Amino acid sequence: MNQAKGPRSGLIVRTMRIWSGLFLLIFVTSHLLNLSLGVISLEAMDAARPYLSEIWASPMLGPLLLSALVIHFFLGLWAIYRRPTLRTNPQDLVQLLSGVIVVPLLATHAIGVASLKINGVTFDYAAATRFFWLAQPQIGLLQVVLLSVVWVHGCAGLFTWLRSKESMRNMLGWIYPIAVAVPVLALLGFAEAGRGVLVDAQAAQRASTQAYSAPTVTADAPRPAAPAVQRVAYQTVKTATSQVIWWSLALAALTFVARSVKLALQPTQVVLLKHGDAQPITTQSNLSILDSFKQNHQPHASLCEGRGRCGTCAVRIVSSEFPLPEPTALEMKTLRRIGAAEDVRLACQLTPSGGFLEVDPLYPADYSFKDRDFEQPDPVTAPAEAPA
Amino acid sequence: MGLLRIRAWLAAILLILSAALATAQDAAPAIDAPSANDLHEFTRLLADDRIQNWLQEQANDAEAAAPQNIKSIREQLAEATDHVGARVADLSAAWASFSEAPEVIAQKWREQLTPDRRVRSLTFALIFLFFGAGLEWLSRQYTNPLRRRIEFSTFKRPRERLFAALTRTALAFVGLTMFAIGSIGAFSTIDWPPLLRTLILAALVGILIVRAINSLTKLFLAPRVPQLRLLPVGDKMARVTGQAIMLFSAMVVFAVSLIDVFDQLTTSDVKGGMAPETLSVAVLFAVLLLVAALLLIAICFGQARKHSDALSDRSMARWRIHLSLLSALVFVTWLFDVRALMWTVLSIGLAIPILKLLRAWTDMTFDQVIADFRAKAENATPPAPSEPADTTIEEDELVEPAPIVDPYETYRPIAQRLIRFAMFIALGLTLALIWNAGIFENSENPTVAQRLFSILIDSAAAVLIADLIWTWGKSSIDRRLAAYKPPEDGQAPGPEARMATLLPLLRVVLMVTLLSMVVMSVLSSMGVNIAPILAGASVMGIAIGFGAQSLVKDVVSGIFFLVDDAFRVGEYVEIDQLRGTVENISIRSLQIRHHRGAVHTLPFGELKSMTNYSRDWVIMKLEFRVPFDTDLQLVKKIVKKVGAELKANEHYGDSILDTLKSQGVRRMEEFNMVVGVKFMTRPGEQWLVRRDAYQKVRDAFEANGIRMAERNVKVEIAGDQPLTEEERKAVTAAAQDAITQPVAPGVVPDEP
Repeated sequence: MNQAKGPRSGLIVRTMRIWSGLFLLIFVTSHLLNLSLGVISLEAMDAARPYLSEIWASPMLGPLLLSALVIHFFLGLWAIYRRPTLRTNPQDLVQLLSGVIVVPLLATHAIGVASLKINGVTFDYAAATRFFWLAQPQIGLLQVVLLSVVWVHGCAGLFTWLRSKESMRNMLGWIYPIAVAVPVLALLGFAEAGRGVLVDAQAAQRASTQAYSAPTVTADAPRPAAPAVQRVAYQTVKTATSQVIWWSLALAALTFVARSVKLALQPTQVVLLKHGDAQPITTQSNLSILDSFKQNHQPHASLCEGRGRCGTCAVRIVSSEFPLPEPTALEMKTLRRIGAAEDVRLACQLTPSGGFLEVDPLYPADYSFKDRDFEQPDPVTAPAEAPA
Repeated sequence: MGLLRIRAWLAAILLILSAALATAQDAAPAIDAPSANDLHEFTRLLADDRIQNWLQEQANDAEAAAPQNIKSIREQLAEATDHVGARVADLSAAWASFSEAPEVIAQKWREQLTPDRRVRSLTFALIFLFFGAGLEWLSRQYTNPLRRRIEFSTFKRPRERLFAALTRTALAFVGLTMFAIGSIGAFSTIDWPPLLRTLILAALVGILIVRAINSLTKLFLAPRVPQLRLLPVGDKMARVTGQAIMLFSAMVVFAVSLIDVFDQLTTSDVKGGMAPETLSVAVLFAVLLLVAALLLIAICFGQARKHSDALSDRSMARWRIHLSLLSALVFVTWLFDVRALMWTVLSIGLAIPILKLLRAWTDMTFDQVIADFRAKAENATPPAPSEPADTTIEEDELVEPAPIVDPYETYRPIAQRLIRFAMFIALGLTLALIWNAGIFENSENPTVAQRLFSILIDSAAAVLIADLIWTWGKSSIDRRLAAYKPPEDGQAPGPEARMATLLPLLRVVLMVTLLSMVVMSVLSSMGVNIAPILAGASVMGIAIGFGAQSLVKDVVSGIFFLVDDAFRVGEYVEIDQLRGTVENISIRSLQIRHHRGAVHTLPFGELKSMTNYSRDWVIMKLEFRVPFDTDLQLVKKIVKKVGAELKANEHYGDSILDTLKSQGVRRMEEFNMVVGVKFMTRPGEQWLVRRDAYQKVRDAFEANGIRMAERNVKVEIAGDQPLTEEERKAVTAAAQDAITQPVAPGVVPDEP
């Protein structure tokens, strides 16, 4: 094996993306676990708050979290910019879109809570629940959307990463239920706390109408005890929030525009691609082989969805009209790990420059690491039976 | 009201009274007319409140207890007309209130839900959706490997393919069920105000229904996985059609649920039927749906014209018109609120193309199966001729491959009938349900429609079942007959030859039985009493049975002889004293030809036992008489040599199972020894072999100096003087006497 020649930037970007994402996911999980305590009571939520939620705003973790978010967001935009096609599998598309809208959705919540903290107002779960269910139900609705989007995005990333790890193949079945239970419990806690607040509010309203028999109660629900919240530079917070929302959206839009401009300016060649014994497909030279397969509905194994991690998309180059580009450090690393021969490349990383290319898949299209458990007995038993 | 009813009752009572009077007058004309006092009493009683109340109660009870009076057709028609008239009035009211509809609905909407509440219910709905989606995602993670395996592997046999497609859909439905459990289950744990309940439930159920329709569409069209597609359409076509169906069903479900919600919003003050505002919105939606349906049909057929050549342009145009017309008809019938008619039109209109599609699908499946079978058979043939055979024959086979008879072609009509049968049954049940004919109820006084439906369904079921059985029987019989090859000249027919005799008979019997059963059951479902027919038929049957007793005996015993495989055409048999070759087998009798040309006809009923000389092998024993001084070892050697020669004969050598061999001396006779030989051949070949065996043995004996024994008499004469001429004559005469004495009979000639 020769030394990795290509740029190492791909490898660095990938590593940073996954670790910043994991860090953010751990934070989200801890926050959601706190929220899920609402199933028990509001008090339980608030009791656990210092350990599960506030710890993340500590001087050490707070900046780290913020920088992880920024890094992850910009790396995501970079990935969109680099992406030659958006028509891949649904999961990838969901991950991409949810990643784009997470920051605008998050802005209201994050900036609001941060400003309260800066101004020294205690915003515990009792206040938050009243705020989200009584005062501003629109923002409460937004939180549900935010939670769903964040969790979907996080799970898409996490499971793509886990599936590409061979050692995790037996763990996945246990992690899936956790991945569903955490947000469901959090939403249950949120809903349960909200219901408690609503019932209290109705009882209070009934009591007040009965006690004072005031016929002119205009407010449909009693205002929560949060006027202080709104007095604290409410306008500033609002402007900051909307600025973050618009800037992040503008950045995302800019990324898409830049991507399409890049694609339009990029000269492309026609590639004739033959996969095993299937009919040759015609595709573009700016697409990786795996993307070409996906666009043409040619089944091909890929556990990590084209991130160059798993090595299951590996193909043997049967013939190529033109010389192929050298493997990058990222591709080299995976190739070396799977112990590939000289003529084996990763379909997700290989972008042919044009002409005719014939490749043979190394793994069946429905391959998963779980298959290795079933594969191993075969080579053992086959020779044993042969002499008999 | 009360007064009217009392008057009616009075009239009724008077009528009864007058009738009673009339009869009374007939019976006993002597009774006087009521006195003025009586009449006064009667009017006083009638004026009494208690009596009036009592009468009224009686009248009410009687009305309630009166059986659901059977409406005449005229009344039913009048009712339907009234219904349509009312609907038209509603429609015109709706038209008048069309412009206000949005306002009215929005106002009601505002009245019932505050903005906060709306947002909160949306929050809850989102949470439920997330629950459902989470559960479904979870179930998918566990079923995904199987689904991917199904989608990526290739299935050779249609049964596997169908199974795979069904499994895939089942997986989709498992996911869907999980979604339903998650979302609707979470929803139902909370008490909702009625409007919100309708709203959220409508949304969740709507999503579920659309997704279920989508899964079903995927089962048939499989836009992404061509090899799991059940319908014979191309990739592009499948995608377009699937999207069209999906879009349209989503629109329908959306419109129906929205109208439902509006209906609930507005009906609080209007009793029965829809509020005019809602109706106007409903009509608007229906018009939009009609336009959408027509557009989608146009788009789908445009795509079909471009991408598919399965149908000719003309038939495509016909289907297009059919579907467009169907949409329009359904719209019109909906507009006039003739629901039963609408569903009827819809189900019949959809059943026709579905039948055609199913037929196409069966055809496609059978074509694939047969193609697969052919391919397999052609792959299998090359190794077959590797066994030692003449090269010329092999070349001939290569030049003209033998037609491969696939075993599936005969099942095609059965499968098609079966599918048609199922479709008809489903359609009939649907129609019965639509018209609420109550075929499942056992009502005392069935209406005309009920009667008609039950007759139709009974007859249709009888005809369809009979048709199914007949197709099955006929095609399996025909298959057996087609597999039978008549024997070539000079070759004995195989055991399947008797089937050629039996099967046509079986076919006729089956047809007659089915036909009479169908006629009987149709007649009985129409209310005709079939008992006399059955009785008459059975009397006739008994009479004919007695008259044709021996004929029946012949036929029945013939069937058993054929089933026993006692004889075949071309075999040499012996029955009682008659011998000959079986020449013809009919269902009643057997014809055998004696080897001298006479033909005997024997009814099967006469056959007690029979001897078949043509089965498997025949042993023949021959005898040679040789003098006592013959060298038996030499004889044995000679016989062995002759046996080898016979076996090597190119004409009948193969038929000799056990060639000629000596059995040694069988017995000693007066003047000679009897040497026995025997051989075993296939039936029919023994005569030729025997001829050659005799000839060759004789020649070989002669060549080796062995004489056949001849009868001779030794005469011992006392004394040593030569005999005179007279004495010699006397001695010769005495010896002649001894020779001409009858000898024991030899071997019975057994040759034909």
